[in-house]
Amino acid sequence: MNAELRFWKSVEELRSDAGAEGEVARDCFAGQRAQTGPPPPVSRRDFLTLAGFGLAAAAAACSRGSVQKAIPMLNQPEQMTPGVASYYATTCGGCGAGCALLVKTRDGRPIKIEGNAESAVFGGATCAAGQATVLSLYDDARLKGPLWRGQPAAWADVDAHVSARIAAAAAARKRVVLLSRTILGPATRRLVREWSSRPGFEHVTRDAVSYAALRDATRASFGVDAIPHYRFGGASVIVGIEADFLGAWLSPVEFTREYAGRRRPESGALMSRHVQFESGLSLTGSNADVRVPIAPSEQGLVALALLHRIARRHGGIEVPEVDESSLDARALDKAADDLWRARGASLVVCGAHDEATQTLVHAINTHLGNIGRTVDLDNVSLQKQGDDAAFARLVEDMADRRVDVLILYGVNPAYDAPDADRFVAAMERVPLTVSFADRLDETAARADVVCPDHHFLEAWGDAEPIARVCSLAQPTIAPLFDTRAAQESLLAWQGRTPDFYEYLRAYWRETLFPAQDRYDTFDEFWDRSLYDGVFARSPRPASEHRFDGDCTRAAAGVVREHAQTIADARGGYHLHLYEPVGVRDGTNANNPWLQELPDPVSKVTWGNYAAIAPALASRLALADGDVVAVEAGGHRVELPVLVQPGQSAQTISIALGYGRTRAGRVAEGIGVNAYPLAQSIGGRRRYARAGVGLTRTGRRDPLAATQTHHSMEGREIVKQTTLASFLESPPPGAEAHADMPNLWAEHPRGEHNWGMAIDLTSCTGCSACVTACQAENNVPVVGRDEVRRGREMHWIRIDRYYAGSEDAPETLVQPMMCQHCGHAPCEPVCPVLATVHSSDGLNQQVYNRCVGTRYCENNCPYKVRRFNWFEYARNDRFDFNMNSPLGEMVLNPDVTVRSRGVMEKCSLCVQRIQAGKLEATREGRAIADGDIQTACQQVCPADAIVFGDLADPSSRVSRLSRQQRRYRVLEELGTRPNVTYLAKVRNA
Amino acid sequence: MIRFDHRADRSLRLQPPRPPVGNPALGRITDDVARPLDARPGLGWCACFAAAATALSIGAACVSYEIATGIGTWGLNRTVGWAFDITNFVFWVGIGHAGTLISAILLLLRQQWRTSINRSAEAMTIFAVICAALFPLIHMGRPWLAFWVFPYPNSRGSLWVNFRSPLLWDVFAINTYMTISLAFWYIGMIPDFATLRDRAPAGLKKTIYSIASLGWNGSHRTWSRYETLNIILAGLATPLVISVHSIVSMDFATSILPGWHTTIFPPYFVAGAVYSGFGMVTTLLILTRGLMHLEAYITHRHLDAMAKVMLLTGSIVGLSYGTEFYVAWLSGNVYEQATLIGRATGPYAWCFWTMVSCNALAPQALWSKRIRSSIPALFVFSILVNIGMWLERFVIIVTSLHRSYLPSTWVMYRPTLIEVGTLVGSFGLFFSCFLLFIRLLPMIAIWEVKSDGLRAAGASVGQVPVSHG
Repeated sequence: MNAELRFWKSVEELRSDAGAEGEVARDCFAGQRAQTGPPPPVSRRDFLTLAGFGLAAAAAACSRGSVQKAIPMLNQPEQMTPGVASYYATTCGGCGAGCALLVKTRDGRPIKIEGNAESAVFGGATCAAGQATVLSLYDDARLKGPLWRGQPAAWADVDAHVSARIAAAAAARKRVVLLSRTILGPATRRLVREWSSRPGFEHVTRDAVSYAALRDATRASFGVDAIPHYRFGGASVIVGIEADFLGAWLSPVEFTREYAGRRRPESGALMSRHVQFESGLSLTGSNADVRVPIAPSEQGLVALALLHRIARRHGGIEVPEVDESSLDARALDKAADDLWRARGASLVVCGAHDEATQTLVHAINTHLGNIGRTVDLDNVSLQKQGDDAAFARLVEDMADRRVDVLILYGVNPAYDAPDADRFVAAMERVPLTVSFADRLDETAARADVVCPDHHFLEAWGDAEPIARVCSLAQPTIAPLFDTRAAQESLLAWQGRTPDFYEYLRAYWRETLFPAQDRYDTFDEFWDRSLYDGVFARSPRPASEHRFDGDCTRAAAGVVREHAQTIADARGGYHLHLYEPVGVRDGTNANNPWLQELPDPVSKVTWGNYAAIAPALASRLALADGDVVAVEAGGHRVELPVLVQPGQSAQTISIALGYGRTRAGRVAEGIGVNAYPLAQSIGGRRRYARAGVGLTRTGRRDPLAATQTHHSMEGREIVKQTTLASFLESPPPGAEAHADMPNLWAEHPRGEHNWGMAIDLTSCTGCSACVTACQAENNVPVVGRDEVRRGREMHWIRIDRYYAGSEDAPETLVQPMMCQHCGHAPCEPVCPVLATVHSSDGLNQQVYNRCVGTRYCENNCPYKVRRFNWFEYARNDRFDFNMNSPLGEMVLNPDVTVRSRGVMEKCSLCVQRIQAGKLEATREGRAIADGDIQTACQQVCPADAIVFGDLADPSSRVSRLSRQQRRYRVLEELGTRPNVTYLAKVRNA
Repeated sequence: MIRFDHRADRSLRLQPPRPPVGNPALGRITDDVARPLDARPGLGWCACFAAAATALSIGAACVSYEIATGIGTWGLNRTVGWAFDITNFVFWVGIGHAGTLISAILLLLRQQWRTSINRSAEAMTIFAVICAALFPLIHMGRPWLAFWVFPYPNSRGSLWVNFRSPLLWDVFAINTYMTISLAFWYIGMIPDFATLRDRAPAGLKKTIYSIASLGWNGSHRTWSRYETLNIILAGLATPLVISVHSIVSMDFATSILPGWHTTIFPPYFVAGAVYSGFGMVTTLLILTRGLMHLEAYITHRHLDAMAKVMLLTGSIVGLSYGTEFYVAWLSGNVYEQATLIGRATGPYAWCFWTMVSCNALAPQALWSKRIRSSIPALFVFSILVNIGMWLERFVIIVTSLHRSYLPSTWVMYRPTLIEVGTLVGSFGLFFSCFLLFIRLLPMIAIWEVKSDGLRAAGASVGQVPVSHG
């Protein structure tokens, strides 16, 4: 009803003010109350009316709930068939890596992200964060239109005002600065270049997490102003120093894909060997063949010690001696030996935020002959171009009132700058600040104008993450809100036509079209590129790169720095800040899928924690969930402790990306912001420091972990061996438990027997499959409290076990989902036959029939069944994506949203199996191996999961299930799972 | 030709029947038993009923909240799918067993001492089974679809139930048990209803008793058929004492969970059920004999006999505990061993050791005649039995579930207030029913007590002019 419309009964009432209105109302009541005497007798008519109404009401109350009809469109849009998915190629904007994507849309709504298999670099995989970006599209916290000083405004007004101010500033020769994150798109880069080429206009690039040291070191060492493109696929020996390249460092999907490609024990000596030196136990460290815990201050020393050893073997290079007393000399010797043996096919990567250390690492790679092979300086990575020094200068200029207009594009320094207060104070002194933020984040809330950018799934764009590897981005849905592409805002404020699509096409026509000779006309080329999503030019051949770095100075710097840290650290601890695999730098913190994604190593969801070594924990009598105060550089945060095996003894590790205050409802109050604990040395950000205080607060804040027991208790759950013993005598495999006799009759066998094979050697545990499954199967988010109660709903989980000593444990991971047992313990116990076996070898859960006795859950030895403890959809107690009409748009229409009280579990993506069967039937052919991919398989960057038909002996899954390394978990129970695991082989 | 062994014959000879203390006159017996039915309730009864009704209301509120909101209001999780719900179910089913044992098996064995306690024991069975039946119903995720567990012709392509599921066996076992127990209880009361009918003044009461007594006339023919029926029903009920709890135990025994998958469970559960049932009967009788002034009918002799049964069954239970550990060691099954060691040393060890103390160690005190004849000692002991047997089911269910095959799934279970409230509510329901029963129905079988008195005097049952009070 129109709220403006006011009803009135008399002219007095209409003209009167609120007081008179109240009087009228009171009079009414008084009049009614005053009516005394016997009530009027009920007439026959009244009786019949009331009786009729009562009857009708009773009958109406017995009817079924309201029926929602899906009305087909009168005019069917071209290329859109209801119920049939369309796929559009685009480029991921989830982090700075720029992976090529294929987006599944149903009825005009993007509902699922897949990797674009056309891309030679990224393959058909994504990471967990990339999977979750589709949910960020439907985020309630997104701005619905432009804001002028906090008030909704019209684009025309905003444009007029901003253009005038920019023009005035330009006329007055004042500075207009565009502060952006790394811009991946070459077209946008050119647009920004054009923008900033005018006098007074300037462009500063800044990344949430800095990679500036690596870039500066590369410039100083090789004269190349970029980050090298690392080729893990060419590396037989990899040494990582604090670089979580499988988790969050630089380009994890690409790196995981290449890394896992070299983790095939069947290839024998080709299997790579990986040594990791790091402080906290990262995803990458948990996969290393040898992992050596070091304090953050020792990163430089490790690099120097390695360089020293390599130089000795190489001869003719002077490297100063170094005091290595705090390091593990044996591990260093072994690593250096391995590297040297694999010269030209080895790789040392380093995540240090220190230029000297990075210079030493470049020197190592140079002396090993890796430049041009595993370290590509000709086709460099363009993924992180942030310039810390320029940003520091900018903040000073802003503070000195030398900046007139500041435009913020994809940056949030008020949240993620170590000295955010300085930035905020400086921002106050800029006459006009404009933000392109999609929400009123920490920085945008302080800006004068917010011109919300599209979500990347709504926008045109392109990307060139690696030099000469280009991809296009296209809208997969019309903009949901009154937003506008940032590029179009920039065009508009330059007085040009705000049409980025035409600009993009023009760029591609002028720059990339001439670089190819396959297509004669640009339209052909454009259509093909848009269809493929990617356009890769042939890489530049390797050229000679001379190492010009000053190792002596770098070494001295490293030694001085280490001594300084030791001096600083007296009585304190080391602090190590890292980007977590889920929410990464915090940009996507309002995404409930990412918040509920268990950390691949710690298994903690919803929030960060201070990870400390077990020895330190017992010395301080701290346990998981004890809240401590961590103090560094005048900042103090309070957060719970996690006792982390493998943690470096005196180091506290804390994840960045949490503690957002203005990201939206979901992220609010989750974790603490650790960015202020970082250092800013001469403008350079450093995510480690020494002399950090740790005090107990006495409070407790239990961690929301999905796994609380970490030992395998000597059970053969994840089988592992070493490469040497595997090559010498392959394990007996499944013969140990050949199919045992069973009292039950065999299930009738149909045409297919769907099954899965999971390679535990290539699986890194990155957890992309967890989010992919959540997106594909409408798995609800339950929130922190429910995870604490052990009620997460994920259909696939990554079990993680530690083995060996607490100080340097081996980490084992195992993806675990419904094993689709041939003799499933869950099936005979259900009283109502709600879980039954299909003739295709699937264990099926019939939601409609389930009454929820949970007996199946109790009797499942793998504990993979999930019960709907509450109604998770449309319930204010679970105010995540399934509680709002906007968030619901992400739901997969092919999968039922389960109601409360029913059991659910992995279906092996039965909707995909069904779609594949239908497709094959329609085309009149048999299903080919690989036609059907489960969501977890499709997303896996390591290609560790293979789904297929076990009834077809030539299918990939059948071949894998016959491998020497095969085994089935708990097969001694006679459950006959259709999921086979391939034992973990460590190259140690 | 069969030759009887005379020694066997001697051993089968019936014990002489014993009349109530002081051998009261037959009319006095009727008056004593009917007194609570006629008089206004005493203060003690009112206080007890108020407490029970409060507990019942708490339970009703908790169950309503749970059904309206979801099973999530309980403390269960992805690993522990059952805890308080099924613990309570097995506990209450077990409680019921004493009633059937006393009325059916002891009748068949001609244990005359049972006569003054069998009626209330049977009533206890009925109420316990009602309490028990509540839990499988409310533990369902969608209790409004509970009727799907019954095999009935339907329009869903005639979708049948799963006859392989122990939960379905439970449905049949509990329903059969409830039906037989109810029939047995009611038929046992018919002569007493006739007695009450005959002494009631004209009015509503008389009408109700007339209908309930089904036109009983006390003729020889009626008595003869009645006794036959009683024996037949006792014969039908007897196997149920064994079968019901055996089937309940199969919920666990047929699963593959370490700590559940054990062949010893059926006899172990039956012994435990009888043990817990006698514990509850003892608690109730000690309370009612005081509350209703029936010391002359419920004597030390009864309590002594029940204590002996508890000594026996408690010892069997204790032996079963030992056997479980022995078999786990013998089997070499690492999972089974880990579960049992976890029971005794894990986070729920305090439950386990309380259970062992209450169920295996405490009954050993009953070897002493002094303790068996001390009413306060027996009362305390009976409460220990109830606690111990509830904990036994909790230990079996929760310690087996919370740490099973894959250590990655190991969790802790903590009950919520809603679950505790539901347990309290089930006790409220039980005691409310029982308190109403002792006010509204003859809680001692008048005709059986009288026949004992007459038998002692050398007469036969047929000659008793029961219908004339």
